[in-house]
Amino acid sequence: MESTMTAVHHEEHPSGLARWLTTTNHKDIGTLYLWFSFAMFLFAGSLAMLIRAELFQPGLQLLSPAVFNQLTALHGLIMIFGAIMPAFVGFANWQVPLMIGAPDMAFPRLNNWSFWLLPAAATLLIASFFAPGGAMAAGWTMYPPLFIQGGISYDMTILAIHILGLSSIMGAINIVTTILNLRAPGMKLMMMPLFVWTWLITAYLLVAVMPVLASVITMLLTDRHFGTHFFSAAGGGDPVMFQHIFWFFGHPEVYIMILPAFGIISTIIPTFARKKLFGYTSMVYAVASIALLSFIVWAHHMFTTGMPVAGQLFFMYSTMLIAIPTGVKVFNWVATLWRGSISFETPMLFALAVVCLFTIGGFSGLVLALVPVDIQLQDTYYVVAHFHYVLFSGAAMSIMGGVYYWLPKWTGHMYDETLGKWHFWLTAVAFNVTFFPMHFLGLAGMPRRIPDYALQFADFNRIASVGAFVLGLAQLLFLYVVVKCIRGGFAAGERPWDGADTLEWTLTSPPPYHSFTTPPNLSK
Amino acid sequence: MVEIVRADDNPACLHFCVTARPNSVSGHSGWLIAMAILIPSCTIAGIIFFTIGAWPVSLFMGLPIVGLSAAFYSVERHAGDFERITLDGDRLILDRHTLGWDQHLEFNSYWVQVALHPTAVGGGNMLALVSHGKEVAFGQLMSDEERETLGRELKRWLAKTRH
Amino acid sequence: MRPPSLRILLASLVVGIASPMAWAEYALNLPAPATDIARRIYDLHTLILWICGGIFLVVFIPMFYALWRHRKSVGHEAHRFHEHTLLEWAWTVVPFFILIGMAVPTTAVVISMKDTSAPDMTIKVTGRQWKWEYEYLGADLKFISNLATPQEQLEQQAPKGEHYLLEVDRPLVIPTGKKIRFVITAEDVIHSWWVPAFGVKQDAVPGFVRDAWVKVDQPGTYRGQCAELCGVRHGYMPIVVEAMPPDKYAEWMAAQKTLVAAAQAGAQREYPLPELIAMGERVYMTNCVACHQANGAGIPGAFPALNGSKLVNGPPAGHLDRVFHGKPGTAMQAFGGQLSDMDIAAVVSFERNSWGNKMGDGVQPRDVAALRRTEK
Ligand SMILES: [Cu+2]
Repeated sequence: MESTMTAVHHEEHPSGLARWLTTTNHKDIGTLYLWFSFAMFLFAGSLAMLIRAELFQPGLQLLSPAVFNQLTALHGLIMIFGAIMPAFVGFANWQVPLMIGAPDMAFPRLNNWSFWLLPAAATLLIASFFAPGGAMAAGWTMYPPLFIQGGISYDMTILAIHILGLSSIMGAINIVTTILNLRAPGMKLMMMPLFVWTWLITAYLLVAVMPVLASVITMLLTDRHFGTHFFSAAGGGDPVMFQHIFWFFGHPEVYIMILPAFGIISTIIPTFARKKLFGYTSMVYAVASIALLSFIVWAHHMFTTGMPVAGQLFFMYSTMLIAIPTGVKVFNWVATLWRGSISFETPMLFALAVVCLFTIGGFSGLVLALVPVDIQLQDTYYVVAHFHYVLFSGAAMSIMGGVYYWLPKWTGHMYDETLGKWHFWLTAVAFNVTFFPMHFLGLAGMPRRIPDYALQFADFNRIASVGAFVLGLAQLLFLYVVVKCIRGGFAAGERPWDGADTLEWTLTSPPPYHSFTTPPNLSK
Repeated sequence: MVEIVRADDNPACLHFCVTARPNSVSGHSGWLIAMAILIPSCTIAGIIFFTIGAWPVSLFMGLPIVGLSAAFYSVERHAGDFERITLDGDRLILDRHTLGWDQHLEFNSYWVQVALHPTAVGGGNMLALVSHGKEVAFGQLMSDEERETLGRELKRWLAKTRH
Repeated sequence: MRPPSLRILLASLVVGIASPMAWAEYALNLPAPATDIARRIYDLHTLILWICGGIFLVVFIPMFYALWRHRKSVGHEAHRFHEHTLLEWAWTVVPFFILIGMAVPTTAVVISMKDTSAPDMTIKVTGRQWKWEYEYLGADLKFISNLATPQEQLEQQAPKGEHYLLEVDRPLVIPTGKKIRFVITAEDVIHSWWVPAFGVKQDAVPGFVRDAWVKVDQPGTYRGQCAELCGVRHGYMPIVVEAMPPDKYAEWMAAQKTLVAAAQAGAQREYPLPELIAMGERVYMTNCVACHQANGAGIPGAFPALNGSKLVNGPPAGHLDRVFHGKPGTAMQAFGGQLSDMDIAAVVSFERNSWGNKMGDGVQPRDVAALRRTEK
């Protein structure tokens, strides 16, 4: 025995910081993802607070126009790549193995690397604020030739996005492989919980489009430093080609941020309606068709670039088609509620708010799909209102609902229901106070990404700023509720939600797991 | 996937024996389906971007195909992996088979101890055998709940053998 | 029968919300259209809004009914159904037909917007960081339109005027009732030429020419802004269009021609340095202050300082050359194509004798004209 012991290398049990750095357990990594995304959410949110403070009244009070542009660009980039996407990956890490009965992710070590790339990228982005000339200020969309004019921080941004993209691709490959290969025996694809389905399709989208983003920013880099002319007309290139490539990535990216949210909502609503999800099969098909359509609608972000009338019409029609599968999802949720036995715990409140508010975002999306109306509203605050209804009240509020829903399972404690409800109502009301008036601002003609505005826009801007400050502060309450729940509280037990066990919850505990929890008879 | 064989089921195992294998449900057909979706879409996009002069996109479109193929290939190669722990009188045997690399460890059940450590942050755990101050981690192919149960049972059994 | 007081209350509430008077402070809709296209867009938006509002009610009245009636707290038991083929088909197919209903009128508007054929006149619009240039093709008239709001108003050192940030030194002037085609391009980065009342927003893409058209019904002043992020002063490149009846427009055009001729004549003579510096300050405050700042210190890391600059404190020829040709690859534009000989001479003279720079020399319009001749 001695000889065999020394012959093998020993896996020492790491301690301290090394435990965090080296962990390959999917729950650990899920937790790291969630905390990282929450930190980025607060950071990018505070950039938004600065933006709203500057826009509180006309004139320049706090920021120079240069800094203002840096804030809008980095707010967008960090929210998308640092907050929303990693939060969903955190959910996937925690829930996908549990829901399909896999012991862990397919590649635990790869999983560890894809997480630890994120803080590196975030550090680069935050450090770029201190680079000469300040951070990248060309908007999160990085359109050339403006992007080509920038300084060193623009290269730092490219590097950071490369790292983030690599992390996403690695994470997505891991998730696809886990779902397709590591399901418990007997679990057919059409038996998987809808959350797993949405993540499978999302991971596919990620695998397909992150390389497109990587290539387009590489082209920006070579245009900046290595004498290529992909995007400069002077050298035979075309600045609009950047937009085509960027949005070929960018539109599926929007669905990457909303499909897992659909998955979370489709998990929460049946639990608190105490009724099986209505139309499971059509939900799966709806998600798949949204994902497919997302590849042929990209140019609706570019109606004002001046494309031929046939192009405008094609992209308008294809965009309108997305309303159909999206509508199917909303109708199915309503049908799930119908004749249920409904209760209103915090996760359910968030889920119901998402259904209503995301639908508003969907309608404004339909308005924007119509070329003539889009030409009036493109690059105005109407668009800002639209994508915040989709990404805040769609994605971010789903994440919040999901956190409340699974916190008992993750921590073993119930969260404080009263404070959770306070957090919900503050968030929901402040969100609408912030972003609903932006529809009016956009209709009235206020362009986005401007540090100062004409006097006729003053009233709604003031309302929006007040809403934004409340919305920002409410998230500190969220932090408090989560920390309080981790530290203690009523024991949550095996199934904290009585509605969860009869439904897909049973699917999450597949047979092999059960066979082992009844301990083998050892007393021989 | 964990399978438990007790002495009454299989005379080859004197007391009991736990084998953990990776779930592997997809195999070749899953790989084919995954590629049937990915390859045409990446190829079409790559060709379109090439024709408009954005040839770097076409290069990058190869990335997901290579990445996902490598992932599936690796999973398939590891399909035969297993981890087996056998209790046989005063011997505790740990067998591990990882892609052609075999490990066979024998411990004296009087000296060996079972350690169940919580992981860093997420409420997961890791299982290890401790003997002469050295640790050997095992249970990589099991879920946290399975490791916890197995750890508890092993501890109970070892306590019994020492009586 | 309801008591009448309640009916009056309800009626006044409806009128109060609907009446534009009550909401005068808060613009809630697209601005009043000034062209046929803008009017059709306005109507299209109204139509879509009603349809969306209707669907919203159809979906959410049942939902809130269920939330109210099928609560657990009133003891409602959950039913078991989770599928209904007919229903699921219905809510896939019916929306499809609603969408077709929306697409038909929209397509007609798209086709009209794109029809730039047979214009009465053509104006070339060029976006630059951060100003618009207008060239009346065939009329030999070209000028630059800059933000006219003084810097003090931006920095709260003066009360803000009525058209704060939406006013320019030289508005674009067009005749009413004529189909005007705009050919739109940009010099440096992408801008977007947008006048909401016209229903026109067209990106100005450097190296490419796009077009759009308007036919304005009523004389008036119409305001818009650059809509595509174009750098630091993106928020400060407004568009002002003055539409006047054709006869007034003809008078205006004749007056412009005389002004151009007078300026050309004036550029021949020699100007004393103080006069050049005084004129140069005005040019500087319009064209240079955004980057190089009022104190000539620039913005470190982004825009170089002129105060104490080696180039400015070197020979006048090198200084003039940089202003005339710009510095490729940076935000420093070639002002030779934008400003008159007079303005370039004045601004160079101003920079050489301002802040800490005490060169005591200047550049005459003649010198600029000479440089311009060697270019040709
Ligand atoms: Cu501009």
